[in-house]
Amino acid sequence: MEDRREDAELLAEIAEGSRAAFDRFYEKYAPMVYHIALRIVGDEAEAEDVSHDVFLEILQKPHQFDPKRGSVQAFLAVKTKSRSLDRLRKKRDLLASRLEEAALKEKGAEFYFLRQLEQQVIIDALTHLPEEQRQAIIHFYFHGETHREIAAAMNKPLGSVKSLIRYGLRNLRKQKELFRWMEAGRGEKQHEA
Amino acid sequence: MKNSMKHSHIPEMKIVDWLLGVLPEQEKEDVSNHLKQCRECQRLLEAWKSIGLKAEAQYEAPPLSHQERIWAQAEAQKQTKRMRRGLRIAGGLISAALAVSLFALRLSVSDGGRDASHDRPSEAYRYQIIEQNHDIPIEQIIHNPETKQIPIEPSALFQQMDGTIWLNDDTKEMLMEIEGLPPFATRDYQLWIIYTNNEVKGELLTIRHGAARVLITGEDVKQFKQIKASLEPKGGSAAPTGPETFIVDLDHE
Repeated sequence: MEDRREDAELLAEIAEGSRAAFDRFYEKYAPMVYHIALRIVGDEAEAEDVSHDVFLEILQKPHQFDPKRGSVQAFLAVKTKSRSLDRLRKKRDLLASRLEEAALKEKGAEFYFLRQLEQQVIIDALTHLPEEQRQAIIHFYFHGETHREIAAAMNKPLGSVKSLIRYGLRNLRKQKELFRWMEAGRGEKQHEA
Repeated sequence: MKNSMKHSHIPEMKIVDWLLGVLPEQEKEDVSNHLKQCRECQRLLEAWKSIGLKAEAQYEAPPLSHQERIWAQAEAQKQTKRMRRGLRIAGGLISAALAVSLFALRLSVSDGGRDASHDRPSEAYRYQIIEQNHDIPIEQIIHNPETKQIPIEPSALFQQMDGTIWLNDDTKEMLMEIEGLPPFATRDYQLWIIYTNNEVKGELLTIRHGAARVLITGEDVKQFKQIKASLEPKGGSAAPTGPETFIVDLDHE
């Protein structure tokens, strides 16, 4: 509770233009913000950029924070996630490599966040893929199933499922549909129903 | 609370707070009950767990600390906003003044006119920089269908910077507009023109309220391969030494 009061005071002082308050706030939360950004975008330089954007936004719009909705940490965490996804939308190569990493991993729940990117557009792009590749990608990205679950559902060996996802992504990239989707830069879907 | 959670998902901030263990007891219980029956919210929780978010976590500090730059950038943007507001207010006055100026210009042309360039480079270079301010004639190049428009992608440290280059090989013109440059008392922004033969020519940028506009004309424009900018010691450097602001490849095709 003491921490919450300090955060609220810092944000109020930042709103009044206090450089000292901003420095304190930055030192307190920059490691967490950078950590989240790095885990989502998977690249140090890009994670630094995301952190930079998040703190600049705090400095410019400190009143965005609404204590009724949660703690400052939660506010920063969700904002950082959102800015990280924005960065992935903007940097098509970065997103493509993140999707490929996701395709090769059995676990990694952070890729749930990638699935929050625009689903319908990529589903439309998937219509050009061979049926099995398309199904594997839909199971993996949009239903959030593990490789094992997909293997069981599709009655395929585990290795084949991984290959189907990987080849599917490669095909998408070749068709440039994925890049077109990435460049579309549509808004993030809200989690709240 | 219980009813609303029964039919909709939990707000993401609440899930994060649940994970961090900072929710009041009743809310904590409500969220726990919802999580037991909602797979979607469980997935979201797992995603946050998987990136290592937890109470009392000790995260490593970022490799570089940018608070100085973030602060300076925010200040620069505040100035730019003030300037734009001022420009809007002054818009009417400027229009009237423009009519008078055009009349005066016509008179001066008959007197031989005046060279608009203020910074002619050495004889080896065949280009000139038209005034680095907001009064340079830009419509001709911007509206020319042969002009290529190239967005400027800022470097990692200058993400709030925004800018565009217009390039026209036919008219041998290159217009560059940038804004969102934080001011530094002991540094100047320097533009670097890289030729197709990799020769590099530096030009100091005049920044006003965090923004700059430069029109370069001349035979050499067709030989420009890249344009970049960097922060240099006051007065500029012979070669780039400071952090890069942006770099743009010029596509002449």
